[in-house]
Amino acid sequence: MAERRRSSVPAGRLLGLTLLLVAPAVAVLIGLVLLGHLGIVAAVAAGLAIIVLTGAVLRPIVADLLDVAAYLRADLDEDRTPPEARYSETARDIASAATFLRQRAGLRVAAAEARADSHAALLDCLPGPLLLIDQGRQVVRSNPAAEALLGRAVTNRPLASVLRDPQILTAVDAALDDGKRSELQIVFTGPVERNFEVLVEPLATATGAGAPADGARLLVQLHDITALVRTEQMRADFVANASHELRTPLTSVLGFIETLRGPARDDQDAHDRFLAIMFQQATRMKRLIEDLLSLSRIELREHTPPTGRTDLRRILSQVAEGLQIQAEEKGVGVVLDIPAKLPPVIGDADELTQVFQNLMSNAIKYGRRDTAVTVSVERVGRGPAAMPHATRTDALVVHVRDAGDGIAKEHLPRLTERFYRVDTARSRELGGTGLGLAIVKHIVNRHRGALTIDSTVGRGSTFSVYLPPSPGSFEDR
Amino acid sequence: MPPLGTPHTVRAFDAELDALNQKIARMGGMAETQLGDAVQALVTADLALADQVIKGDDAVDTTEDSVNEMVVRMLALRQPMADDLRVVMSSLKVAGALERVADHAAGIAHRVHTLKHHAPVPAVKSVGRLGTLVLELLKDSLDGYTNRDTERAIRVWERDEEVDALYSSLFRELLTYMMEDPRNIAPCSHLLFVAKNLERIGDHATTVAEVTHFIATGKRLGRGRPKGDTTASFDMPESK
Repeated sequence: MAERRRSSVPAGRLLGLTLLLVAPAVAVLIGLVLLGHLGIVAAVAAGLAIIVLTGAVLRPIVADLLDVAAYLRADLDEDRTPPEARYSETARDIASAATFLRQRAGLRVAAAEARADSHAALLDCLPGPLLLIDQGRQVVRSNPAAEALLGRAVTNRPLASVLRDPQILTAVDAALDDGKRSELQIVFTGPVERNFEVLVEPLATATGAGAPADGARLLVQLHDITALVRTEQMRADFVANASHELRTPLTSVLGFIETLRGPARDDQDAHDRFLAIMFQQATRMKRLIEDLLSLSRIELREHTPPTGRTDLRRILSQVAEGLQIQAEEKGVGVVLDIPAKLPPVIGDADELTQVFQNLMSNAIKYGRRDTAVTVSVERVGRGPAAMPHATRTDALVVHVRDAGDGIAKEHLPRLTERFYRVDTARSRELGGTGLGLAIVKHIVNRHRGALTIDSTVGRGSTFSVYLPPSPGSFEDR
Repeated sequence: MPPLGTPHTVRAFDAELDALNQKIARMGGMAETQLGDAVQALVTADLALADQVIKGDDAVDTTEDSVNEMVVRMLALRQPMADDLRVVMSSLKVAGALERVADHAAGIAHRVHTLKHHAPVPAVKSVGRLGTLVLELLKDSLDGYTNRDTERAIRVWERDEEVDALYSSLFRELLTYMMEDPRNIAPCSHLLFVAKNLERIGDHATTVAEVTHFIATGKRLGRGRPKGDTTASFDMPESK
């Protein structure tokens, strides 16, 4: 404090103290007068003089003491210099002791505040929403994640107005009354459904000496498990889809068997016709099972990249040869445009065969009659962004181009999903399983490559597979 | 929820008002869960969940009784005035609406059992969509009520039209199914009742929104609520 104001000494107190101090001297004077050693006038004068002088000496001392008292009483955060206490050594002593005390207390408070701040910061940084609840079911504290989730400030409001879910409220009651900890799952409805795992936990220190000052008794913790629930849903959907896909041909085969054993027992024409259909359906089931098996096999190995070296040229010619009959039936020519000298790629020959088999047979199936399917290979300086960074440079790309009807833009991102079909009826008719491109995608992923699809409706589609070259293959060119 | 206005001299009154508000919020959560579960049970044909909804209705009724008791006590002992009176009286109305919501939800759950005896109709999905919309509205109206959020209340009040429109189109869809195949008549009639239940729940959500507006502003929302339900003047669609 810049301006030093001495405490004013209340007159009554000063008078009382003075009278107390002069009492022995006055008693001696009265004694002297009674014994006749001193004249009454002189005695009265001496007495008054003693009182006045004592008062005068006492006054600054009392003022010093009052100053010190005021200093001691002051708040810790008030910045005060200790009083000078010129007249009283005792007051000076007390003042210096008080200064020491103030400093120590100040340090302690600062440390405690810093700790509280860091705890608060910790709470605020936690990504999961947290709420601290007191005995009256009020939210006493929350972190920003909770406010973001609930969309408003939630502190100092009753829990029920923030989270109404009866399960949570019951769990909170149980925790407050019996100290029971509970874990539950709730769904937040709304335009986007979200699933949460909620943990209601009584605070261990909520009662007794270490009880938090804000009265928090329990912690409500929310953990977003939407992604988990969705994944589980997808898995269930996949199983349902797969069994549905298998059941359809199975039902038709069973139906034909029933007919063949019953009404069409002796009908040779029907036998031929039905057996052909049954063969077709059974083949479809077999293909589907093969595809499902290879898909799950590839998925199992997807995280370990292949190590062998493969010659793309050989694979592509073999696949093209194998599809010759299919292509001729459809009147589609397969044109291979492969450079004479091609570096080998890292890859599993069987899997890559499956990739190009699927892509080329798709191109033949969906290409228009009397058009050509072109398969070309080239080297690119840099693969597409979808490729892992480590294998991106100097990639090889195989384009499989058809002149079919093309695929509308909205289907492109979903093409590689299992059982996703642009046109279900047409795919079934052409004998597709709905898994071909999913298999391609997983194999290409395992090879640390990328699959891109370009398509123009009415002009045709290009499926491009980017593959990393085997190391050292570019030096010996 | 912070009590409106300044704290009262009788602090017990604040505590009681707070308890009442909490009870209503809790009851809202119950009604919401009942409705959500009922719709889920309908769409997934989950009989166990439907049973749970039917059993859960009692808890909502009990809560409504205790709200009524609290309101009567407060009226008799504290004689609230002005905005307090509005809050206390409207609690009665909101609790009534929520109890009806839970009743309708239980009604839907009963129909899940009946529907199980019939071949599944694809229209269940459309009814489920109506259910999701109504649930969203109910949630919004309760959020509005617990926060005294007039804007949200008005939004709910306006969106009830969507429910009515969806209900009308659903009505038409169900009629079409019935005309296509007489075997669809039984399940579709049940779905028609479910849809009507949902439409009624939408109306109750609107009631809650109106009450919110009344508490916060002391004024009523106009009578001219947009109405999109035209089923009253609906003939059988012409068969082609």
